[in-house]
Amino acid sequence: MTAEIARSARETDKVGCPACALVAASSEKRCPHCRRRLHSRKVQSDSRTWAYLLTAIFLFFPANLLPITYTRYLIEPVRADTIISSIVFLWQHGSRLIACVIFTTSIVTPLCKIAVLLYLLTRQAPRKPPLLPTRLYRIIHFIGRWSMVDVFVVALLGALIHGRLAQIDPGMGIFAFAGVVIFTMAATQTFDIRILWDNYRHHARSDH
Amino acid sequence: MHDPIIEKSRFSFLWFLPLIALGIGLYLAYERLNGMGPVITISFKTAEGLAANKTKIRFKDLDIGTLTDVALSRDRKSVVATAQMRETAAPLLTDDARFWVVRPQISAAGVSGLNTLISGSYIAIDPGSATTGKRATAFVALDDPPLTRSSEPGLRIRLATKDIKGLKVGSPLYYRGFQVGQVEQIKFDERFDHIHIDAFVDAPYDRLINHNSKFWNASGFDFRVTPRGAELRMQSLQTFALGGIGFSTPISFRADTARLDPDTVFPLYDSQQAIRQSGTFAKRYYVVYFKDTIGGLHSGAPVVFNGIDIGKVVEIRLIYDEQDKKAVIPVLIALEPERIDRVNPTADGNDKDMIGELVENGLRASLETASLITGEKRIELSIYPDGIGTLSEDRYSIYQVLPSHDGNIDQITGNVSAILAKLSKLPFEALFDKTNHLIDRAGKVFALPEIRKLGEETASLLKRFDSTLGSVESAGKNANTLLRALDKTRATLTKQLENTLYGLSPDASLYYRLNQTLELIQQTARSVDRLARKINEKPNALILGD
Repeated sequence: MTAEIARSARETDKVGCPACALVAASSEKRCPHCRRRLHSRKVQSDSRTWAYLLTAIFLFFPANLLPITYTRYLIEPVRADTIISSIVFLWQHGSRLIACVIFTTSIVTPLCKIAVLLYLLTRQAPRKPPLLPTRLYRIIHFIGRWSMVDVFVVALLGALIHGRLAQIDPGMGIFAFAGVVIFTMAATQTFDIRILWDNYRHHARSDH
Repeated sequence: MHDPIIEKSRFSFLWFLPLIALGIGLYLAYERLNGMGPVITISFKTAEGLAANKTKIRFKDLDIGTLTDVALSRDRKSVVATAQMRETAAPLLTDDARFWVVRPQISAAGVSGLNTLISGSYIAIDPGSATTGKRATAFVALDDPPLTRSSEPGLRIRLATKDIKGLKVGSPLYYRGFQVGQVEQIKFDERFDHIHIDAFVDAPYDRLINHNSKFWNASGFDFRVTPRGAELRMQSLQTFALGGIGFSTPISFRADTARLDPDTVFPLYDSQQAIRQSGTFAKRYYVVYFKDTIGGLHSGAPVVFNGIDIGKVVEIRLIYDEQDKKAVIPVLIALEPERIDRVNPTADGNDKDMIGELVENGLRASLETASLITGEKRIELSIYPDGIGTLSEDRYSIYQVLPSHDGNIDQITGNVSAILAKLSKLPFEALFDKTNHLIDRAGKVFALPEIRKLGEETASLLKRFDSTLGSVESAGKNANTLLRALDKTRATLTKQLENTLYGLSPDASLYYRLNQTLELIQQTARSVDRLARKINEKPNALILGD
């Protein structure tokens, strides 16, 4: 096992610049090329991730309970839809594929991201190589931005359908939902997966 | 040195973010929960225009609730709508609150609810009184929108009539042609006897109404031909289409400022004229039995109270009681107690049986001859202080028996007719025969010595007669003084006559002036004679002159 433990850049007193990918000495405060501040690991990663994650969790409830759109169509009274009710509406009116897509992007994805982040934050000192957390982290990092599709759809609908015959207005729910997406992305951003590996290596070495 | 397992976490301002999010979340939850008022159910006859999660409950055009469910009631007779009300609506939901569905309505009274054509129906609420009403969660909706809100100041009155004659819900109430209210509801009473019309009089016109107010149906038009010509009366074109009720409050000898009893039912007369004529309802029926013959009494004959018309005879029947084996004649009369104005109202108010109370104070019915020539009779009600009675139940009908009294004149006429009947039965011819026989016998009787004794007694009788004559003499003296007084009067009369005649004597100025006038006339006659002659000879003298 020990032989397989590779050395990280940090352990060789090197630090990579995240902006221009230059490898500099750990003693450098700023990148010699692009003058960006250099940190071997993300500053306050754990604490900031928790803060963003909790914010996202708190916003998740209003995002799902409050209406995301107010639809006024011809003479019918104004219809308020939450995320769930619009999915149900689409499902009932035959647009099952779209319903599935929205369900995935709006409900499943944020929940998965929150769950993964919670998992990562509570598995800070792994005894085995943290391969699964790393893979999960990569996935949520990749799909995170796609959740914004919902927000864009509502924004576009609200901007385009704004006439006398029909009108769609965004509700408080969509703002909360956008908050959920933004803060889960921020949490993913501030989380430093390298720390898991650091801790794993530390454990692995101290065991020997 | 190279092993920072977990960075020492310092306080980060980032931690404000979850706090803010939590705050926003909690605030929204609080807002949502606080805005949730009670859940109520309203039952409707039909679900027309009602939709769950769509139909709003509105008060003053403000949404105060939304229907969450519309379902059939358990007995399948109505539709029960469940509504989630807002917290602000809670004080409005008392047991006297009224709900109805606002739909477009077009009637003679006007057009309303047109906006619901586009926006869809909604449920309107007329909140109950927050002070007297109790909180309630189950309501029954009205079929039609109420015409007046319960919060509107005014007076609700009830009118009773036999025939509504063109009146409708919404028909206006006029006071001297000015609209002061409207009909809210028309329905039969429990026994389908009368039609009750509930009307609302707007404030401040409610002050125009008191116990003596008279209401009449002003619907349509009134056309009549009278000796003075044809007469057409119509309140307004609106009353022609909508009907209408007029009312007046006569000036009574006593200003009745007392608060109107809420249970008062006013009669609605057919026309303004009908008020002055016999009222056609609010009758109370009583049965009267008379001991004497009721010949001359017909149905329709008036019933008067000390001379004032207060009712009519409705029916006279002859019935035979098979149990008692006797025939009785019940006379059914209809009294209109409303013709009697009430003053000094007491606490128990209108329902009081005025006739019953009067009977307890001695009111009795008696037969009275209305016309001595035709023999028509009427029933007279009077108070007989000696006879204190009560109303009793009639054995042969559902009505009460008004005690009767044997009338005076009636008694006399009855007696006279009995005497006459007896007289007509007398055997006059036999009587004459007997009289002749008696005279024969008398001749014989005079010869008897007993007659002589009779003669003596006659002499003493004559003496007494003499003294009587003496008193007659004194009476004659009195007559003498009377004659003297008459003589004096005659003398003064003669003098006056003389004075009058003196005015016509030759010495009088009148005589002189008369003479002069006569001379003047003579002269005039002469000149006219001359003129006539001249014209005869020379007619052109009239134009050319002499």
